[in-house]
Amino acid sequence: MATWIFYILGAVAVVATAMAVTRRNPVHSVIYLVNSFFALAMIFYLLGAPLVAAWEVIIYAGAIMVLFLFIIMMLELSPGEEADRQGPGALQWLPVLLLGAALLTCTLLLLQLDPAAGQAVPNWYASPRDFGYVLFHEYALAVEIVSFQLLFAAVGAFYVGRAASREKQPGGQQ
Amino acid sequence: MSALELQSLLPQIILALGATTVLMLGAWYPSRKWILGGVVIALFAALSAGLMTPAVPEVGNLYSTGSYARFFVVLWSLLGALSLLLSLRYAEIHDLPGSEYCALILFAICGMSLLSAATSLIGLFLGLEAFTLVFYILIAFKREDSRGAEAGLKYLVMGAVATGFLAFGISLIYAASGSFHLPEAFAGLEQAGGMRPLGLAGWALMLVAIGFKVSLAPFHLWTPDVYQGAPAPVTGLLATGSKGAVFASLVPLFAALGPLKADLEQVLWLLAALSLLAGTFAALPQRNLKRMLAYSSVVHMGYLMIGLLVGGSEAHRALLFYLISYAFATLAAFGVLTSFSRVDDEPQEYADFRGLGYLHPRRSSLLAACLLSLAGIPPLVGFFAKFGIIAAALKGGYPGLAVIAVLAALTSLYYYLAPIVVLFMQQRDARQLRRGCRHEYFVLALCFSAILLLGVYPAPLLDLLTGILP
Amino acid sequence: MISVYHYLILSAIIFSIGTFGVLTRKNAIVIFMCIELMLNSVNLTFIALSRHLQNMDGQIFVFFVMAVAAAEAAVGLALMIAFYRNRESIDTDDFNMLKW
Repeated sequence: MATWIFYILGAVAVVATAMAVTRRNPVHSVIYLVNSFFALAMIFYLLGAPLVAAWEVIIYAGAIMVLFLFIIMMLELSPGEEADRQGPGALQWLPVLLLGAALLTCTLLLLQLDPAAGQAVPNWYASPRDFGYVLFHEYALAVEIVSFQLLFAAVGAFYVGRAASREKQPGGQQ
Repeated sequence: MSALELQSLLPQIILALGATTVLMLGAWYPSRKWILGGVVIALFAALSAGLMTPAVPEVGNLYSTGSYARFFVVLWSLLGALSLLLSLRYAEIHDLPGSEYCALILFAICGMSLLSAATSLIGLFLGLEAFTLVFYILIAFKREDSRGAEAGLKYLVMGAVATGFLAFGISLIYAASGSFHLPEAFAGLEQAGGMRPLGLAGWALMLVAIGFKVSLAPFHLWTPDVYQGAPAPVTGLLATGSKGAVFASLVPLFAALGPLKADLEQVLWLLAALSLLAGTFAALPQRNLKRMLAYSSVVHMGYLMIGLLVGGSEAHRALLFYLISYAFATLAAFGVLTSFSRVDDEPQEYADFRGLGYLHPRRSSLLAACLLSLAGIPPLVGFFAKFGIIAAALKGGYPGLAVIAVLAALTSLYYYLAPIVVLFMQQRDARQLRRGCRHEYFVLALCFSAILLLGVYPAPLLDLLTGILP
Repeated sequence: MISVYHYLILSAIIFSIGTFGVLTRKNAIVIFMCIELMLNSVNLTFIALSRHLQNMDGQIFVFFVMAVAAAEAAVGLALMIAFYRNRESIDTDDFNMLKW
């Protein structure tokens, strides 16, 4: 059973990835990319990493892809507004629909297999509790470094993304 | 993490917390004086690294606190402090916010110090990402300058691809050894198990990523654009610290590599030779000082690669000596560019420098001295550095590379002398350039005395390097 | 039965598709998405190896890769906005003020 799910999910991931890379419209790329991330998340689940699977959906498909979508819409990069007005053609929505259906099937199948019960993953399963213990016990320093990194990324993004203003700063030299 | 471990990592903690403090206080009291505060913090970190004896040899299985690591904390903190001093007037005339700029530079220094101290692949990854991430922002820091945004975006795309390769390489090494901690990772690779080919492929991917980060040919194409578009003091730190930190982390890595190095030898040979040749040929026709320095830095990376390839404590000592001499000369060259810069633009084209030697004789001579040191003219330090690398190549049994290195050094005279000729030999039609300020003169004088003193009397530094090498 | 090699092959395929996209696409945002794809294939490798080696470290690394990817995405998109504000385009063909 797990073998079949792996092959379906692998096929979905590869097809969705290939579609994402080749689409002309960036919004379509984002949609396929989200498909690919969902397939990968399910593979992670299959591999006994439920927490990372959840992050894959929350961080990648949720946060980062929405950020991309936001920028695409803000910069109005999506071409062909005339075409959109007539609604998307079957060729455009059919592949997404098929991939989505495959993902849904796999989700239902996955619900039958409970990794914690040891069916899909006979030998190893990383519970969120174990994961958190190792992360904050052995790698506490690395977590601190990465949080500093995120802080400075946020500062930099605020600074660079803000429009340049010519007001003088007080207290400068000379 | 215990208190002892925290105390052992004090220099890096000073840098990171200092950066956040400056950032926070800068929100209430915006001032460019914070840059001076950053200099004090960096010097404080350097002092604590130099004077303090760490309680534990390794923190969290990630970072070493040995004398080698602490030496580089001192070096990067000093370089960072110097480039902050250089930025003082530059930030003034380009209207850059002091506290953000200072905080980002301090965190970049922290990342470099962490990278050169890494004893684990996770530590290496995080240190490297910490400062490249900051550099993406610093390169685009002049917001009204669209060249900065373009350079930043180029560096970001290249850097992010390199991150992908680095992470994939680390995953394959992990596959072969089952550990991120370097000694175990190497031990795992040495056993000829079924996963060993994967480990070697991982090393190859990691070399690609490192090639991107330090701009080895054929991964060097971003270098001239990024150098040209970035603010001059940032370019100074990018050219010296960020490349130097990667090499500083590679030296212990390769020292521990053992028999595995034989498998990588041909790739390293090729990378070194290609960098020497491609950098030299690309630098020859340049008429822009920043681009010329970019291509010549590719050549210098080739020399450093020779030191890495030859291996052994003597070659590694030559490599570190070369790294330090290159860092001071390059920082001073970008320092002169910074001090020549005006509100509207910084001079880069050779045409901007025509006859400048008569207008600003001291700074022009200093620029000439830096270029001559980079070219390897005695008695400046560059000569001894090149000599050490070539001697190591001959002793280590790489006569072919030694020949290429000598030829590259001879050819380099042409492109290093070209700007000097423009500075001193041609009729003056240079526009009036800005007078420098005393902070800049101080930095330039310091770098100049370093390249002169180390050239005349290199023994103390060489002894120190022998002492700290793992 | 699926071995760890199946997962490695799948991740190598996705990594190659991502690299292909980085090299061929012209739109900076799409290039960025391809880089996210490459990082994701790396995550797959780590998770598969983590299970194969019965060792938590691989999953920990995925955590750091995700954090770094998020930071890079934030900075990258801000840079794109800055570039777009000056040039009204994010096509790599327009990265031409500096000689490429």
